[in-house]
Amino acid sequence: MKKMILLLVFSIFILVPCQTLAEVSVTLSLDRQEATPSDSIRMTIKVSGARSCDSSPVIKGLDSFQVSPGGSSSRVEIVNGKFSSSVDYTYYIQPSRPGTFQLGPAEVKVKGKVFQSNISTLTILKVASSESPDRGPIFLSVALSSKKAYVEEQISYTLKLYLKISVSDISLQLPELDHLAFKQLEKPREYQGVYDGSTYRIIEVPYGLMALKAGNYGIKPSRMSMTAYDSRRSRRGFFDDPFFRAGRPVTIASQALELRVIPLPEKGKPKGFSGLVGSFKIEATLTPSKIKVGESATLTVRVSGRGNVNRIPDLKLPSLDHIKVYADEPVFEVRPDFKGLAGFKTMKWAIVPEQQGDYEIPPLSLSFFDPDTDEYRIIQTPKQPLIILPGKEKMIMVEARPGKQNGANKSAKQGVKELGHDILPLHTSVRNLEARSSIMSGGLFLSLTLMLPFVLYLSTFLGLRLKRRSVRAMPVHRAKRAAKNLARQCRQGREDADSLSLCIRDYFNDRFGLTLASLTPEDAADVLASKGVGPGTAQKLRAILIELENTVYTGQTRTADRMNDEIPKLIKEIEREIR
Amino acid sequence: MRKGIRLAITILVALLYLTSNHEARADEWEEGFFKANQAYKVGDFQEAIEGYLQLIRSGHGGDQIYYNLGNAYFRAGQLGRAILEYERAQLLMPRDPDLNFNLSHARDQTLDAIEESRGFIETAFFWLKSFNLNELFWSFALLNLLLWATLIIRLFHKSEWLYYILLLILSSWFVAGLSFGLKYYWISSDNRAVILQKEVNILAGPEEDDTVLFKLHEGTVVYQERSEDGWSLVRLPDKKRGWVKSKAVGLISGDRPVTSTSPHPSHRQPLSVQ
Repeated sequence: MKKMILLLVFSIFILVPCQTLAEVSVTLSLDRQEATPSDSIRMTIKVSGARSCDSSPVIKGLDSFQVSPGGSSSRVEIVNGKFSSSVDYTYYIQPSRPGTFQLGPAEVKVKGKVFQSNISTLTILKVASSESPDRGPIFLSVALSSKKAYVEEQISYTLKLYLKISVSDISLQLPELDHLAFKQLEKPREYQGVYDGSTYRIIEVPYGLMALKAGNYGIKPSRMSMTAYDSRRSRRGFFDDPFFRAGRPVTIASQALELRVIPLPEKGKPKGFSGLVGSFKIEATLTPSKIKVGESATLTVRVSGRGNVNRIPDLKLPSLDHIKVYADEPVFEVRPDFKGLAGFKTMKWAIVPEQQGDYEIPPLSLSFFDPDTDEYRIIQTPKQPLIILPGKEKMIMVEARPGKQNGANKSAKQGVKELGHDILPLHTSVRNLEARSSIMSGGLFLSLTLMLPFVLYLSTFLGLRLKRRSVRAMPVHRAKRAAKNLARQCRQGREDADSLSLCIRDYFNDRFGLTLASLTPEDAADVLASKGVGPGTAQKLRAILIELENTVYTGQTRTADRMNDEIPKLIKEIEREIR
Repeated sequence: MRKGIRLAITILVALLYLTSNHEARADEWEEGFFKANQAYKVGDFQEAIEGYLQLIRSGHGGDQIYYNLGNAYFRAGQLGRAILEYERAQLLMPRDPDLNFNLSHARDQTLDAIEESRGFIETAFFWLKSFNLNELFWSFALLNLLLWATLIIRLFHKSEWLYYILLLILSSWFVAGLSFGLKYYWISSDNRAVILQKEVNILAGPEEDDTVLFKLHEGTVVYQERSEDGWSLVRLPDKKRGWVKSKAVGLISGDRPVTSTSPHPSHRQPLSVQ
C-alpha cells in the first residue's frame, strides 16, 4: 500500500512539470451554426494542453456582434495515467445583422507563444415576418428552409419554443398531411435568445420534411402541450424547482405555413433514374490492382450524400469476360444531422480472374436530381485497371452467401423456392408390419434381461467369497481333526515306528498350523511348552519320540505295538492342556 | 425305440404345422397391407383406411401402418384423425423424415394457433423425443450388461484403466436409465388428445346447455385431464380448460380406448408403444 502511495505521489510530481511541455491546441466552437439576429449564440474557446493563458483570447470576425464574456474554467484530468488539462473561455455573442460570418481564428498566448484556433462559420437568417412583436411568455414558431421544393426533396422544418417561464412535460403534435413526411433530425437543443428586446430560453427541434407528391400544401400549425409554472411567485431556492410547484397545462400552436411542391422535370431525366434527389458523390477503389490468376481483388464503391438517401440504388457490376464476380451485401447507413438526412451506401464485389492479362473494370454510374442546380446529374466511378499475372492453376474459393448476392453473377446460387405443399407417399415395406413386443406391458423377459447380469454378478461374487472363506477355515478344520486322525491311524495298528513318527509330525503340523518336514523330540517339547502344555506331558511325548527314533535306528518292532496304545492317551492329555 | 421315433415324428409334425400356420397368417397380413396400399394409390381412401384399421385390429400395430393410416385420413380430408395417427406413428418411429414432414404439413393446416410449451425436463432431456421407448430400453439393457460384466471382471482383475471404464459405463448407464424411466413415465402418463371434429365447442361443464368458453378446431392437440359420462375435461397449454364430448377427441397414447367418429366404426386395439 505504501509503495502504491509513493508511486502515485512520484507520478504526480513527474507528470505536473511534464504537462507544461504538452502540445497546446486551441478550438473555437459555437452552440449552433444558424441563428437569427435576435438570438444569443454561445461561443467557446478551448485551450487544450495548458492550465492557464498569458492573456484572454483575441478573436477575429466579431465586428458585427455584441460580445458578452461568460467566464472561464480550467480542468485538469488524469485518465488511465494520462494527464490532460484545458482552459475554456465562454462568450455570448449577438449578431447585429443577417448574413454569413467567419468567426475566428482566436489567438491565445501561452508561455509567450501564440496559438491560433480554427475558423467557424455562422449564418444569421432574417427574422420571419410572421413573428409578431408581442408573443407573451410562451410561444411556438416554425420555419421552413424553403417555400418551394421538388418532389422528394428534403427541406428543414424547424420548431422553436420561446420560453420566459419554467415549463415541464412538453409534448409535440405535428400536423398530419397526406404525402408529407416528417422526420426528426436531431435531439432538441436549448439556448438563450433575444426576441423583441426580451431574453428567452429557446428550445429548438429540427425536422426534415419531404413531399411525396407535387402540389400546394397548407401545413397546419404544430401544437405543443406542456405544464407551465407561474413566474410571478418569489424564488424559493431549492423549492423553486417545478417538482415542488403546481403548474397549469398550456397548449400553444405555431403559425400555419405554405409549401409549393413541384414535380421533377421530365426534360433530361436519365434512363433508369431511381428517384434520388439531393446532392451525392460516388467513389470507387480496387485493391489490389495487380493480382495473380486465382487470387481475388475487392472493388469497393461508396455512394454518399444528402437527400432522400434511402433511394440510393444497389449498383450492378456488369459481367466480365474471364472474371468471376461475387457481390457482397451492401452496407447502408443513414446519419441525420441538423441540415437534413445524410447517409452512404457501400457496395463490394470480390473479383476473381480466370485468365492472365490486363483488364479494366468498367465505370459504374448513378443519376440524381440536384435541386440546387435544378437539373439531373450523372456521376460515375473512373475505370479501374486490373493487371492479372500468371498464377497457380487451382482456383481459390470465394465465400458467397446464398441469397445475399447482388445478381451481378449469373452463376450465383439461389435459394430453393417452394412451389407447392403436399404430404409424402406411403411406406410400402413390410419390414415393420408386425407389432413389436410391448415394453409398456412389462413382462418376464424384459425383467430377466435387466436382472440377469446382476444375478450373474451376484453369483460370481458369492462364489468367490465362499471360496475364500473355505480357504481361511481350512487350518482350523485341520486342527480340529488332527487328534482324531492320529487316534484313527494308531487304531489301525501301525507296526512301523517310522510311520508313527510321521503321524505325530502330521499331528503337530495340522494341530498347530506348522509346516515341519521332520519333528525332533526337542522341537516337539518346545512347541508343546509354547502352547501351554505342562512340562510333564511334554517330556512324556519327548520320551516317546526318542524311543521311536531309537526303534527306527535299532530295527525293533515291539515298541511300535505298545506305542499304538500310549500315543492316543498322551494326545488326549495334550489336547486337554492346550490353552 | 419305436416309441421314441413316434414322439419325434409327432413333435416335427406339430412344429411344421405351427410354422406353416404362422407363415400363412403373415402372408394374409401382407396381402391386407398390399390391398390397403393399392386402394390408397387408386384414390379409394376409405377402403385404404378400413384395410389399415383391419390390420391394427388383428394386432399389427407396426409403425408403417399408423403412418399409412395417417396419410389415408389426410387424403380423405379427416385432418384431425390424420394428425392423431401421425402422432401415434411418431411414438414408434420418431426420426422418420417422411413422417415428420407429413406431420408438420398436417399441423400447418390446423386453424388454432397454439404454442407448444416445453418444460425444464423436456429441455434438459432434449434427445428423448428422438428415440422410441424400445431403443431407450435396449440401450439401457446393453449398458446394464456392460456394467455388470465390468464389475465381474473387476472381481478377478483390478486395474486403473478398468476403473475409468467402469466410471464411464456407470455414468452412461445412469443417463440411459434415467432417459428410459422418463420416457416410460411420459408415455404412460401421456394424456395428449387430438380434436377430431371440424369445430367443437368447449363448455364450462359436462352439459349441453353449459356456457361455451371457446371453440377449437380439427387437429388441435389438447391435454385430456379426465373423462366422465361421455365428456372429457381438456386443457390447453395456456391453461384454458373446458369440457368437450369424448367422441370429439382422440387420445394419442396410453391404453385408453379411443372412440371413433369415422363413418367406418373402428374397434381400435389398445396402442402398443415400443
